[in-house]
Amino acid sequence: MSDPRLPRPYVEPAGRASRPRGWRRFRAPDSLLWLSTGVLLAFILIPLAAIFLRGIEDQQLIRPLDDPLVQDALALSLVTTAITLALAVALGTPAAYLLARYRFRGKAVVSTLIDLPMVLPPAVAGIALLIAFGRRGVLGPALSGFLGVELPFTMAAVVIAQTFVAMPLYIRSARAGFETIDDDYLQIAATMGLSRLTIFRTITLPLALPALLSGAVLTWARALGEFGATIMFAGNFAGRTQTMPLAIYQSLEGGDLSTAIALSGILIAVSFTVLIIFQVLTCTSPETAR
Amino acid sequence: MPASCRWAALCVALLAGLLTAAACGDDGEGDGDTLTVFAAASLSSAFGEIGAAFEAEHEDVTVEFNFAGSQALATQLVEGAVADVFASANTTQVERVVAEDLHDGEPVIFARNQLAIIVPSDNPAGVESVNDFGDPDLKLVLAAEDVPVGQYARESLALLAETAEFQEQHPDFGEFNIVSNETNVLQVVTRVRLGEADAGIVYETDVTPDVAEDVRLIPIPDGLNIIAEYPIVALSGGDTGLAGEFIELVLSEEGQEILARWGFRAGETG
Amino acid sequence: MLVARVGLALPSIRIDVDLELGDETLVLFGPSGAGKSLTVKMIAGLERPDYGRVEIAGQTVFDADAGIDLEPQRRDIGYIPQRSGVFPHLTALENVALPLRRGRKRYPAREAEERALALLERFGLRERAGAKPAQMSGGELQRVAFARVLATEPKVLLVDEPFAALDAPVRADLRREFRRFQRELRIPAIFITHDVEEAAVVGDRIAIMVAGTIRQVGEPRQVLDRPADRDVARLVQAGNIIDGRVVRCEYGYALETPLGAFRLAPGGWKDGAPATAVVRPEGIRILREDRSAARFAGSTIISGVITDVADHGSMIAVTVNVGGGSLVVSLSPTAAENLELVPGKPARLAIPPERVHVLAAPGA
Repeated sequence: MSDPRLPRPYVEPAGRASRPRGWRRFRAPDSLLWLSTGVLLAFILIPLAAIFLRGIEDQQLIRPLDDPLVQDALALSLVTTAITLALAVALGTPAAYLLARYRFRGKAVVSTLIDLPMVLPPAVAGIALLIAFGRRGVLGPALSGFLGVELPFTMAAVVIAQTFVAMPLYIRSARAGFETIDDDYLQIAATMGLSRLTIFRTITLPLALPALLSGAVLTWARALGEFGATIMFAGNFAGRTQTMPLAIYQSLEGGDLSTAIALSGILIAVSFTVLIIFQVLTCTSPETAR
Repeated sequence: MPASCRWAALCVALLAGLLTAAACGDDGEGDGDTLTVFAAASLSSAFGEIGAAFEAEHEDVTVEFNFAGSQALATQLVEGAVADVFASANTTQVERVVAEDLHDGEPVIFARNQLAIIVPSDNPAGVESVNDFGDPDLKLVLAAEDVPVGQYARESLALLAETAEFQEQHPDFGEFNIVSNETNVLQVVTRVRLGEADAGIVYETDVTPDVAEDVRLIPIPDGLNIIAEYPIVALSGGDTGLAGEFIELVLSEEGQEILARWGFRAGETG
Repeated sequence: MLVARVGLALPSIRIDVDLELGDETLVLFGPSGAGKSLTVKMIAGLERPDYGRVEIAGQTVFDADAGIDLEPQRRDIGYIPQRSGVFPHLTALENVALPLRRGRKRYPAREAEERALALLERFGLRERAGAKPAQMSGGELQRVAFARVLATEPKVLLVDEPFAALDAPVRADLRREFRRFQRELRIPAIFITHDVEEAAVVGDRIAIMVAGTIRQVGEPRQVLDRPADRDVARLVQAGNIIDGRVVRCEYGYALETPLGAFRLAPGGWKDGAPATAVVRPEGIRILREDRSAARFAGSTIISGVITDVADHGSMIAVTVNVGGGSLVVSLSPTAAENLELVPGKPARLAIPPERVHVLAAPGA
C-alpha cells in the first residue's frame, strides 16, 4: 500500500475537455484551439461543399463523365501529373541529397535558385518557359533544328510546365528528410563495409522515406492544379494540352457553368481520394525513430 | 484569461477588417462617380479612348473597364457581377444577358468587325493564301469556340472547306490543325507575334499599328469573311442614366469616328 | 596490432597523437573537447588526418606521404559511436545481419541470418531478435551494437563512450561484457570514456588526452597513482595536489609545503628545488586515537581537525584541515567503523612516503 505521507501524484481526470463544468473550468487555450480549428475547417469546407451542392442541384455531377471533353481533361491531367511526379523524383532526389549532405561553394545560391520556381507567379514561369523553349526562344531553334522537336502545344510542354513549378516542392521536402538523418548511422554503416550505394538504399532512403513521400504528394497536388504556366507554354487544346484546370477555366469562361462545376467536383474528389490514401498509408507505415 | 481575450479580440478585429474591406471595395454600383463598362477584348483600344472622352465631358465621373472575352463577361454578369454597360463582340452573349432580364433597353449594334488572318512576320510556314490552311502541318491558333471571334473563325473555316478551289488543292483534307484554343483574341495575337503559331484568325481591329510590325496579313476572300456585329446595352443593375449617356457617346459621330480609327466598321447608325 | 601516428589541425584544436597497441584495450581518457572522438575517427577513416600513418594488423590504411587513404569500408574496423547507432528502422536481427549480407564479407541470406542469431544469442538477445530499437532499452541497444560490430570480424575495435547514457548497474554489466569479448577476440581496442572509474576498470592501459595531445600512457594504477602532470592529476582525481619545495632533512628528503613537511621516498632529489606532489586520498590513513603510531614509523604524521565527512556509499571521503590547507582522505566504510569521524573532532593522519608522488615540475 502506498505511504499516505508521500505526496499524491496529480492525475488528470480523463476526458476533461469534453466534460466542462461551467465556463470557468474551460482552460482558455484548449477552447481557443478548437475554435480556430473550427473556423478554419469551415473556411475550407464551405466553398468545397458549395460545389457539390450546386452540382447536385443542377443534376450535373455524374452525367458530364460521359462528355469526351471531361474524359480527355481527366485522362490528360492524370497522365501528365504522373509523368511529372516521376520526373520530379528522378531528378529531384539526387539534387536533394546533394544539397543535404554536401558542402560546396555557392550552395546558398543553388538552393535559392531551386526554390525560385515555387514562389514565382505561374504566369511568369509560363512566360519564361516560352521565351526559353518556344519556337523563337533561346533554345527553341536548337531544339527544332537538332532534335526536330517543337515543344509548345504538346503534352511534353504540359509536363515541363508542371515539373518546373512543382519539382521545387519535392526537393525541399526530400532535402529536409535527408538532412535530419544522423551522421552516426551513415558513419557506422561505412565502417561495417557497406558500399555507398548500399548505404543509400538500406539506410538513407528508408529513413528519409516519410519526407520523400510527403514531398511527392505535395508535388503531385501542385502539378494537378497547375494552370498559369501550362496555358502560357503549352496552350489549350482538348486531349493534348487541356488539363483539368484549363478545362474548368474554359468552361467557366464560356458560360458552361455546369461543366465547370462538374469538373471541379471531380477534381476535388480525385484529390481528396489520393490525399486520404496517402494519410492512411503513412499512418500505418513502420514507425521510424524520428 | 487576459492573453486569450487578446487573442480572441485580434481574430474578431481581423474578420471585421476583412468584411469592411470587402464592403468598401469595388464599387460596381455605378453611383454618380464610377461607370463600369464590360467590353469585349477587341474593344480595348477604341473604348479606352471613348472612355477618356466621356470622362472629359463628365466631371467627377471615372470610367472603369473590364475587358475580357465576351463569353467571360456574360458569364460574370449572369452570375451576379454588377456593371452599367455591356458591349459584346456578338449577339449570342448579349442574348444570354437579355434572357436573364439584366438589360435596360434594347441592344444596339454600334460597330462591326471583320476577320483577319495573321502570320508571323517571317512567315515560317510560307502561308500565301487561305488555301494553305489545308496543310496538316500548319499550326493554327484560334480563340476557343465560345469566344465570339473563335466562333466566327470556325464559321469562316467551314465556308473555306466548302470552296471548290480548296477541295481541289486538298482532296484528302480531314481537319484543320488547330493547336490551341485561347480564351480571348489578344492571346491569339500574342501567339502569332511570338512566332509560336504559324497562323491565327483574329479581328481586323486587332491588327493595330503596334501589332502590324510583327505580323503579316493574309487576305480573306470576301465570300469567306464573317461580319461580326457588336451590340451594346445598358444593364438594369447599374446607373441606367449614366449608362445611356455613355451609349449615346459610342453611337455619336465622335464615338464612331474613334471606332473607325481603330479599324471598326460602322454600326447601325452608319 | 594498431599503429596510429597522426595529426590534424582544426580551428578549434590541434591534434597530434602517437599510439601503438597490441592485443589490449587502450582507454582514451580525457575531458570533452580533447580530441578523443576525432582521433578515433581518423583511425576509422571518417576524418582525414593532415599527416601521419595508420596501420591496422600490418596493413597500412593511411599514409599521408605515400598518398594512401583507404575509405572506412576497406578498413577492418569495428566502430561504435556514442549513441549505439543501431538503425532505427530495422529489427535487432536485421541490424546484425546487414553487415553479414552487404559488408566486407558477404553471406547468403539464410546463413547471414543464422550467424546474426548466434551473435544475438551470445549477448542474451535471442528473444529480442524481432524487436525494433524503439522497443529496446539502452543497455539492449548497446548489446545489439556489440553483436553487430562483431559480425564484421574486425581487426580493431573503436568504441566511443558507449555507456555514457546508461544506468550504473547496466554500465557495470556492459563493461564486463566488453572486457570479455575483447579478450576473446584478441584484437586491439580503443575505448573512449571520460569516467575515470570506467577507465580504470576497462583498460589494460590508459592514455590521457588533453587538448589534442597525449600526456601520459600507462597501466591504470600507474596513471592514477603517478600522474604525469597537474592536468592529468586533476583528471584522474588524484585528490590532493600540493605545491612545495624539496628540502633536506635528517631522514632524507621531504617536501616542505604550507600544510607541513611530507617525507619523500628515496630518489634523486635536489635540495631547494620547487615541486608539486600528488597524494591520493586512499593513500592517507587516519590513525585511531588509542593506537600508537609505531606502525607508521617512516611515514609523515600530521594532525588536524575534521571539517567534512561525505559518505559516497562504497567509500567515505573525509576532509581534514591540517593548518595551512586541507587534505582529503578516503577510506572504506569498514575502516571507518572504529573511528570517530565527526566534523570538529581531531584526527591524526599518516602518509607513507611511497604515496607521495612528485610531479615532474610544479604547475601543469
